[in-house]
Amino acid sequence: MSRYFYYLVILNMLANVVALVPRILIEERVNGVVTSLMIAIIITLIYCLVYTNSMLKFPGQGQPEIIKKYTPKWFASGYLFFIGILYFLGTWFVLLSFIDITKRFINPEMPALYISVLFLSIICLGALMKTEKTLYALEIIMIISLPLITGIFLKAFLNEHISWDAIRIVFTHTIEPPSNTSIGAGAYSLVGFYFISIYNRVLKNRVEGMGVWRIVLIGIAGTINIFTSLLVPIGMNGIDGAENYIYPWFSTADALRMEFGFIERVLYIFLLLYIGISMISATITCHIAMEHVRSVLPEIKWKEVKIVPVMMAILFSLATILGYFFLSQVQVYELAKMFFSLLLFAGAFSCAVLFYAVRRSKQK
Amino acid sequence: MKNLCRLSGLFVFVMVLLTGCGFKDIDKRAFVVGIGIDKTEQNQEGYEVTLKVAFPSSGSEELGDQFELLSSKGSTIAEAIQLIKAKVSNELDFGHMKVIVLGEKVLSKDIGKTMDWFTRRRDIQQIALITIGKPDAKTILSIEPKGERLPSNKLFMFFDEAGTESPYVTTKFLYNLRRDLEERGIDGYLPIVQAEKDNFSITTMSVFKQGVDPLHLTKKETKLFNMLKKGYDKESIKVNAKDEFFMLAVDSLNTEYQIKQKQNQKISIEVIVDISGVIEESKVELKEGKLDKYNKLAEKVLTKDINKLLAKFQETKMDPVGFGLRYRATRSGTENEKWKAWKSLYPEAGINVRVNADITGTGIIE
Repeated sequence: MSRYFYYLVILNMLANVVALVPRILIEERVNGVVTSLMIAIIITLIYCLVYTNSMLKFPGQGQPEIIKKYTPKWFASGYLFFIGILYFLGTWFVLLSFIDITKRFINPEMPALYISVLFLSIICLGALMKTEKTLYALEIIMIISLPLITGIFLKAFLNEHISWDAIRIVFTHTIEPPSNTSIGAGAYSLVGFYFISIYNRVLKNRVEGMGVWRIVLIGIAGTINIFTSLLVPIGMNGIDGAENYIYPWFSTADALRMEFGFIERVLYIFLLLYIGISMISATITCHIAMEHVRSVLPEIKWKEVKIVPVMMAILFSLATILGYFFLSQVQVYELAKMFFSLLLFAGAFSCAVLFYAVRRSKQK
Repeated sequence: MKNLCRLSGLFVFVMVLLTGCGFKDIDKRAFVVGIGIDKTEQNQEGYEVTLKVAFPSSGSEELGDQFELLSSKGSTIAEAIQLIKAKVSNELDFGHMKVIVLGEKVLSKDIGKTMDWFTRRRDIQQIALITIGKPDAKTILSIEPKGERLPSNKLFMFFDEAGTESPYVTTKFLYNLRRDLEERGIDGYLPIVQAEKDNFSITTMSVFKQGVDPLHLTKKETKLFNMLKKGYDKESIKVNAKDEFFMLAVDSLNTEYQIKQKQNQKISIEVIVDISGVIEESKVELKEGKLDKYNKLAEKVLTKDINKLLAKFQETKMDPVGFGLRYRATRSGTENEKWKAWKSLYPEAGINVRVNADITGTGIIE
């Protein structure tokens, strides 16, 4: 398997910290969250196996080409448009949270509009790049951030002030009915493999099949990651105290201390790393969304420049800015919960559609 | 030509972004290094807030006395800070505030309300150190110890274990205190800094919870508590029997506790302390061959002391060790049920302390 595929999977695991996932899980911490996470991991791994292997049957092709070729036209346009909107929504949530985090933790005096424009211009310009180039940007950011973020995770677990009793309380609620929202939120951290729907175009000849061992490896990494993002905030802020934080991981990073590090407050290092992670995550999901939507829209040229993607970027930017100003954090949070649950069903549907396409291709 | 156009476009875009005035120069800021909260005399609700502000300066000479104390009264902390802002021309910067001193009187009753301001503000470090000031916070902040490199530096060094490591000092960070206040099953505790002439001394601590008067521990109890809670192993224990007297210097120490429930619904708290060390000081002659006897002696003395301390906590319904949290962590059921059960079980719980002492030698002489 190409290393780029792993980057995409790991990227989404790391980005879940920004995308409100820890908060949703913490809210459900005494309602069978452990069971929910186990179910979420198993479901997503099955999706991953089916989806990735089906995509790999079509080397060098993205999901739009495959769907258009093997399904009726009305279905293909509707389906691709819908998937594109889902990716746009994913980007939207990450961006809304990160704009809010920037305003809260980095510079409260900077107007939110400036922050939004700054982030959006980077993301939209990034998303308009060629598919291959976004992968190179991803690699650079992963190489810089991944070791440091792993270090921070480790540092948190080795902290002498972490309350292991609080973490044990979470496990006393294992045998309790799981909830839909926590399954959805847990599954979100593992959905990085869906990115292959577009990136399959450039991963040509670099990718072999997706074996059981690779799935197990991804499963282990995902389990460690999702439990870290649930348990460390609980250990640092207490089983009863963890629920009041709006961004649990950023408050947790502030509670970590690197006495002899470059900066004593881990928060600032963490923020810096997560600017990178959330920007590249938003860029990549936005790129995938654009590729999906433009495949169903007619190509319009204006002075030799294809303007459909540009129009989409502008529309998306507007939606983000409006979303930030017209929706409260509580509403965004509730929407995110619904979105994550929806993704579970959308995942099953996607796998089914792709599976159908594989069968059709064999018949021909 | 096209590239030039793009480049200039980028340039203009960046320039537009730089118009904000969010960042202020360093010489226009006043760095708060410590904050003290006291209760006002007349007004029951109000606070007197004292800020210790350090002046940035070049050079690396001793700057311990380069500070200014600003204080103001207000009905809330935020209001008092607003009034202090009116007294300084520089922008107050709380980003470097590393120590929070609470006056002794603030501690009573509604400590949670007082701490709210600190946990809500984003610019206050969650890793700020918290302590109680005696007689009050303002006095502690106004002390200028000799040889201080930066204002309040000595106070930081006491707590963050980079400097001295004393068995009497309990380290408590802001996030840690908030956790203890919110958590059901563990109560908060803070070290008490006593003001002396040109210096501090930290030998005691205080245990508290919301709505109850705090419980002050003595020196001996403080040491014992730190041993139990932190597993603090750089200390000496006084073993005092009829005709034997020696100090045991601890090399390693390990404390474990379990909450056991018998059939008759009563619970017992089992505390096991493993301790090993060498004899540091003795007033009578010691024999290498009699180590077993010394072990027994040390075990007896420690068991008695720990039992006494835990009984004191139980009597006052305080639980700074976190037995209640351990109970919650090892039982199933909803959290409210567990907590209710624990509250009725704790006052009647039996306490079993077992100390395993292992004295490895009598030092380099017999």
